[in-house]
Amino acid sequence: MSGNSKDVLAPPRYFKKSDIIIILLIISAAIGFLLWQRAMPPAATATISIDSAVKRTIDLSTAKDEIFKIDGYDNITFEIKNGAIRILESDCHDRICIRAGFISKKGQSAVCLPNRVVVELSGEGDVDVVVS
Amino acid sequence: MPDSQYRRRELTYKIVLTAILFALAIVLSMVENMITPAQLFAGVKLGLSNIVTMYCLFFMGVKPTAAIVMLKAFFTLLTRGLIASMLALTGGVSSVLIMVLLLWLGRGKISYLIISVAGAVAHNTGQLLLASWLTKSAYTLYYFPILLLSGVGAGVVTGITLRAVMPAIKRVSEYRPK
Repeated sequence: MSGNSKDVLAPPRYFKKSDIIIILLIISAAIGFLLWQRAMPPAATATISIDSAVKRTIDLSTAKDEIFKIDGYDNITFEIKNGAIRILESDCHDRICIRAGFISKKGQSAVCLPNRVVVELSGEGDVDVVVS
Repeated sequence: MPDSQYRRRELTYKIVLTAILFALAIVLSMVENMITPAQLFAGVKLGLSNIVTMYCLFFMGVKPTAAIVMLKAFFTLLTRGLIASMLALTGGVSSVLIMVLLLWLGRGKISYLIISVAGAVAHNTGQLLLASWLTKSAYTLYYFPILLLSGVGAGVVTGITLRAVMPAIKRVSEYRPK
């Protein structure tokens, strides 16, 4: 592999035209996904599961604003406000779940992986998502 | 020099180089953690240590790369715990798998940049699937578009960096034990 030293020192060409096209395609696909998600109707039900066991189901359309914890799990605090829900406090190292903020649309979820906490939002007539 | 001795020298060279690359990967991920103030979203990171993984894959073959992936996962197990190490393992394996596939199928015609992007996206996707399985929730998959975008970004950055550094590395790695 010891070619001319002149070649080795030449500035590398970074982008080929096909590269840019492929990357633009991927970005468009991602934006498409995002737009589709944003267009989702607001969710009706929030399901809070810890360790894959459903702990509480909340009807967001009628829920009052409140801050609460789940029995037996003192380290996570949730908040409901204006029909949206979020993880308020958590003792996890990353705090990604808290930074996710309020969720209110069908399909959105807030997850605290180290604590195995999942808050998912589903709408009426949601049959296609059954994970067992 | 008798053949066996030559082979042994070559193997030693490979082992040492792999170890150095592994150390480099660790340092890169530590530096990355230091310069990223706080994570924006789950799994969105620069993936600087993937530069090392890619270099290893392109120029040393699958076995040293697999070794580095395993070592990284084990290191993560020691430093950050079980779930983080599972994530690291899944991301690394998915990433290398896709890159090997692309290299093998593309027969040298797929640009390194695209392979880098594919590796980054595969890394994130693998981790997303693991997270989805761990939480038994299909809704977690809604993170996919964000991971697509961050994978493209990270893949482009690491790909360009590798490209920029490659001539220098080539010169150094042309050393062969006599």
